[in-house]
Amino acid sequence: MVLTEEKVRALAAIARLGITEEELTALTIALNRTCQYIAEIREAPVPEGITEAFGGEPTNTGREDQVLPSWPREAVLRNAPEQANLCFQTPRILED
Amino acid sequence: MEMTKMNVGALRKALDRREISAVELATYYLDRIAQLDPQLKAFITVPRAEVLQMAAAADRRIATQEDVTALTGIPVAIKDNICTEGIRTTCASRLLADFYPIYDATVVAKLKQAGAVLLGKTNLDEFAMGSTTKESFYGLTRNPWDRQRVAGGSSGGSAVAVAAGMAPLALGSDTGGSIRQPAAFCGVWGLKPTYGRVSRYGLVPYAPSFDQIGPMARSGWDLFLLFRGIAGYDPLDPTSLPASVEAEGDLSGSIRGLRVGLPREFFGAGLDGRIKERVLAVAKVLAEAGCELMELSLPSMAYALPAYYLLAYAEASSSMARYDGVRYGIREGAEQGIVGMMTATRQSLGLEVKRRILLGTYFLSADCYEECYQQAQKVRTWMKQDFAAAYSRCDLLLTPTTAAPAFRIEGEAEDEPVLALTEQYTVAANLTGNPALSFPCGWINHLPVGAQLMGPAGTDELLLRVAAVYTENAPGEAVPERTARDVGEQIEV
Amino acid sequence: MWVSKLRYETVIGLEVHVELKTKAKLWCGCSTQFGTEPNTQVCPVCLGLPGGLPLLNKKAVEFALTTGLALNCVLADHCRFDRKHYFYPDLPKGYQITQFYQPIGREGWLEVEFADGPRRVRIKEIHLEEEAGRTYHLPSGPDGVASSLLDYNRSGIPLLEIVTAPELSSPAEARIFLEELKAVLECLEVSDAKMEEGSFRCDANLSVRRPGEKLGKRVELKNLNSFRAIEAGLVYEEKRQRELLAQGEPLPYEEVRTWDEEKGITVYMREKEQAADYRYFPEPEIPPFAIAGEWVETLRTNLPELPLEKRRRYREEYRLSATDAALLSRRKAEANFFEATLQKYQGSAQTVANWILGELTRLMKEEKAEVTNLQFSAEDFAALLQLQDQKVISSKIAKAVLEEMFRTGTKPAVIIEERGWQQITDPNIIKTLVRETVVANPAAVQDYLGGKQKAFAFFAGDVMRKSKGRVNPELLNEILQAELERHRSVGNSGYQSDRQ
Repeated sequence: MVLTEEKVRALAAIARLGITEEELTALTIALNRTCQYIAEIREAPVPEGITEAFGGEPTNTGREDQVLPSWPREAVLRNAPEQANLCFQTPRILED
Repeated sequence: MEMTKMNVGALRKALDRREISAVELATYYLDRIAQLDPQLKAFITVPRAEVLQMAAAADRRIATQEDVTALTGIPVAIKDNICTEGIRTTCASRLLADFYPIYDATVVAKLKQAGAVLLGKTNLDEFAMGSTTKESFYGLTRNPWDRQRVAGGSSGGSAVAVAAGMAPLALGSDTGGSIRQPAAFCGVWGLKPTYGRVSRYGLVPYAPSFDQIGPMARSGWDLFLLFRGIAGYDPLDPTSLPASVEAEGDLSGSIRGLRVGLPREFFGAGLDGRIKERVLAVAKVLAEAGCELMELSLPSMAYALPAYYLLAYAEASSSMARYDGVRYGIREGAEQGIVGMMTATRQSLGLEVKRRILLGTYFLSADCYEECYQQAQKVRTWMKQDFAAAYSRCDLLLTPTTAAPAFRIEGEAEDEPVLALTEQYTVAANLTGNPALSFPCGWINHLPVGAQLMGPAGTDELLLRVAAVYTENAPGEAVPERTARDVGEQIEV
Repeated sequence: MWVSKLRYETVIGLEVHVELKTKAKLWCGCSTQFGTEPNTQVCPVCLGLPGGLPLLNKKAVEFALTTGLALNCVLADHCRFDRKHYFYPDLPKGYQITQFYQPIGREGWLEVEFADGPRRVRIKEIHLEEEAGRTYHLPSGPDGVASSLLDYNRSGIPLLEIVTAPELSSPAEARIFLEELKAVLECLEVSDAKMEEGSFRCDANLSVRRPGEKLGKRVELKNLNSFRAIEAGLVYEEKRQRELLAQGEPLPYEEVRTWDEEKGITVYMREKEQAADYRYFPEPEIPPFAIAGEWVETLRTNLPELPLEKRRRYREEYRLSATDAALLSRRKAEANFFEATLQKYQGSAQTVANWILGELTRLMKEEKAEVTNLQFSAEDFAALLQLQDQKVISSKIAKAVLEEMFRTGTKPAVIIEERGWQQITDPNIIKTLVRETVVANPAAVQDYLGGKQKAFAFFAGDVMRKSKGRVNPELLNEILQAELERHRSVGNSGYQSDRQ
């Protein structure tokens, strides 16, 4: 597992993560170090019969289909960076 | 009155006898924070007006003696990744510099209901990702025993608040050791409860299948009181354990006949010999108290750290996806269109958080998923089985909390192998979901050393009981009786 | 156009998103009500605020299981969820909670009656997931900057995605399949399934090929917001792709296109990301939910008769026309009323069908009423039809009685009695009435005898008017004709010669 700067840049794009050129260099080194470190897990002698754990044991917690009060809109919008017409506002989202 | 020397029980008595008022107590701590915190930086936010309001309300409750609990009027510091309604919750991130939650985390609601006074929001590594409390947008937290050393992390602020007597109690959160490691570094007690015993509702997620809120305090009994105040089934948390796991009423039970395991993998290469010595001294005290010691082996431990990194970072990359600048938090680059805005907003995250997001994104990508992520899930299952097998032979495990005492801010704290070393003993409890307690067990020069007790799910109280017995029977110098006051004196005010 | 239909095969697969009609959302207690003010049905959970935790609404699982049973799916023994990551402002957590690794149902089928007969359409899978918020677009303001608005009321409403195998062979079949699916969902009462409210949405994948050749590159079609749009969009796309193939220019890559309703064309949106990496992984916060066998069996037992079975039964058992069978079986309440009426009624099922689909539907439409809140019972309705059959009242009177029942809930016999609306069937009374009008209108008698059929209608109408419609029409016709013909025989000797 070797991550090139290109690959790291691509990962950052997937994660919508702005990184500077300086950060890119530092992160590429750091990422490769961790990847090298974790690579040994592929050789872990996991005993026979262990399949991939899948989010733990079933607990069957759930709720009944009952409507509860929602939060007041003023509270909900209070943290909005921008708002308009009772909605959260963003730059124009291009329809895709 | 030497309030920082008093434990919570003594404070309770003083409050109930009206020797002090909750407002006086709160004021005392607020003043102490004002005095010490500029140098230690344990707090991000101290909402003085709200604190005094809560204290006044507690005084009214005490006056009428209605609904007074163990925690009524007792100040509690809250790690700043736990949501507090109307009180800024930053997660030590620039991104949430102006984020005021619209609801209380369940633990906060419980504390408020009990009449506790929320003292302030404590510093942490950004989004709890780190083990130094250096990765905070609001400045690094210093270890009160040696300000050139780290407090540990990510609950460094909570550990320091308690250690330096700026709060009698604090809440931390623990994903891979974030309560226990700073507790060990700062000479206080810290419990990572059984997964599901304390509600996560309102805890800002880092890696939700690992995260757990827990108490930090200067003594076992104080820790127990806070734990009892926050534990319990919560219908708002899908992973909350049913109420059948009830908190025990006290810590007085005998520990005679308990089998204490010393797992080989926790005493091997990389461990500071002096720490090993202190922890074995704990074992000796426990043996004298009637415990049976046994050595055993946990082969799955060899892969604990890689499994933790893979799974926790994968979850972290997912948890962090919500910060897109649309609904809350800061917004940058709005002029660059929607994708540009999201990217620019997230650019303000710190390097450590970015590192984990990128790794997590990579681990979940098609390139890695089957070979690494799924393998890590298998290792996690293996570890659960491995530990369950160990617990069929012994009742609990005694290990060091960290491989070394608090390290220097310059140099060591940037060295990844050193950082990894501090996590290797703590991640197992998060991977298995079992409880783990760190408690002070001596010194290396002026630096505290922590020992860790682990047990099967639901044994949280048992761990406390055993550690309390150790503390009672330990040679005087082993336990940090050098209290917060002394710490305060070390600081040039 | 020289492109012959015979030379190409069309292959269509559908992805249908259905909003389940739980009262509360999938993970929180916020209401799912449609059409309320923006951001009034939100909370920390469905807004994706840090620290909010999802708690599964068990009713949504039940609805998904019920649908799975109706679609003959193999049901999972555990309900598990996964996270699907992508960034979009309407997705508050940056991931959608869905079922990727283990859909709640797999390998099902739905039998559909196509133009060339019935056929099972395979269902690849059905899975539960959460709905995203809604985006509105604001035109540029005075500052010239366009923006978008987000309303999260819809965020977290339970969705069921139903994916068919690619085995629909024409746009018409796609429409027929969707209509059948919609009817099934309505019948199960798991969804409102209203396209106009977005609670039933469909994306379609279409490709064409020459018979025996491998499938061409497929196009995913979006923005199909009505059954008409689905068929029209697919027809357009089918033709476009056939022409390209005929010109030797098969599609170079898979793409996503949108249906432009106004222009009636499909428009290129983007290349379909082959390697779109959604970084799925098991949702770490939601423990698996074990689906008990007994639960499934109870749901299976309670499964209603599905529209197709019902239609078939209406055609075969009740001999209804295909159209009437389809109309009546479409809505459960009406079908139930139909069958309840039949239980008490001796006459033909077709009569009941005619009355429900005719008069009753008209009245309900006018008064905006539902069959479930009628003032009268199916038994009363049967009694009314019975009275008509027994010629106690005419069909015209029966309509008036029904209106009265509809308004007041009074029993038909009581209405008829009170109003004196019983039919006149006594031939002597009718004869008297007929004679009166015939005597009073000699000119019309002459017209009739002269061959003007209109004159007959005039006499019949006059009798009906005078009797307030109560005279039995068959008897009236019989007696009136006899009376008029009697004049003809009388007149044969009297007037005929004069005319010659």
